[in-house]
Amino acid sequence: MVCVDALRLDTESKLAHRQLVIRSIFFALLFLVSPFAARAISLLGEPEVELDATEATVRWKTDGPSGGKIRWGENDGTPDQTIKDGVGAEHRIKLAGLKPGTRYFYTVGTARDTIGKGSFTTKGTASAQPVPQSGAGLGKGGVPVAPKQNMLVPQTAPPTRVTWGSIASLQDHYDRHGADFSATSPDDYAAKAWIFREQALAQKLPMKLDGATVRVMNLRTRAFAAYNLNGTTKTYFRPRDASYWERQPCTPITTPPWVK
Amino acid sequence: MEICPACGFQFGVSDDDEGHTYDSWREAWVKMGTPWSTKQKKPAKWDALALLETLTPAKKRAPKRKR
Repeated sequence: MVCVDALRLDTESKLAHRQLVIRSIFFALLFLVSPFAARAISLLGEPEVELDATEATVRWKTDGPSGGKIRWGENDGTPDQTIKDGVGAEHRIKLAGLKPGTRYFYTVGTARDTIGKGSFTTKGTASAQPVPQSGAGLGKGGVPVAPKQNMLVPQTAPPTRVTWGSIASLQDHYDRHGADFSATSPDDYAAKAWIFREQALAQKLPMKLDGATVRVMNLRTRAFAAYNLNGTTKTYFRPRDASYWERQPCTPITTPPWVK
Repeated sequence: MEICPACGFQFGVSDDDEGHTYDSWREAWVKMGTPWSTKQKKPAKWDALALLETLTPAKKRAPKRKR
């Protein structure tokens, strides 16, 4: 009986071991073909950059589909802007709101990894635009302010009743977004939105027109505003990241309708 | 870019920036009892539930909105 039991136990043990091996092979194969299996994505060739004075379009290809991400800035090694792209093997991202004649450094990659880097210099002359520099010209709360020497941008706005579109909604917009710009009151918030409108014209910030709304965004500071066709403000806030601009519909414009 | 004075949804912000959908926002608002959500003046005889009943499925999916 002992021999029979021993034989049975030995057989059962071998069977269990065989089942374990089969199960392990099965899961290993499942993992290898699983979409969640990690595989390093590589860059194909070098990124290509189309240049303008205030815009640059960066394109790159990878050896497999992945989410795309570009990080960029004026300082090598410390990018301060990020834009994400959808999943694919080819990515094309436009960087707007750049300064003419200025060198920018960028890295490209997936959501997790950096797979390439480079730099480019925008067209034009660097001396033209009086744009606040990183780390300088920052007001309360770290909000960039227009340089005082910039005579193109008034520092005092007209009364709120002139600059804000729907007075009834101003308090709600201020309650939600006033802190984005360290505004001290609804009138201060409305004034800042108007000054931003003037800065956008002077600095040629990217603008889009959609029916009855003009959208403007400073991609460096992430300040965003929407205006009616007559130039009065609809809203002024700071989106969570610069990719918000890419999701805005409409047609890019250089001159808003209220400028004659 | 407007804020709905009733439910507080801000077009272009609540959706594009914060990731809410019309349906999810509406559902949450109804669960809270359809409170008037802004500082704008509420109409005297405003009845949120009666207004919601007038929504057709098409309107629920893509209501007209100002941006």
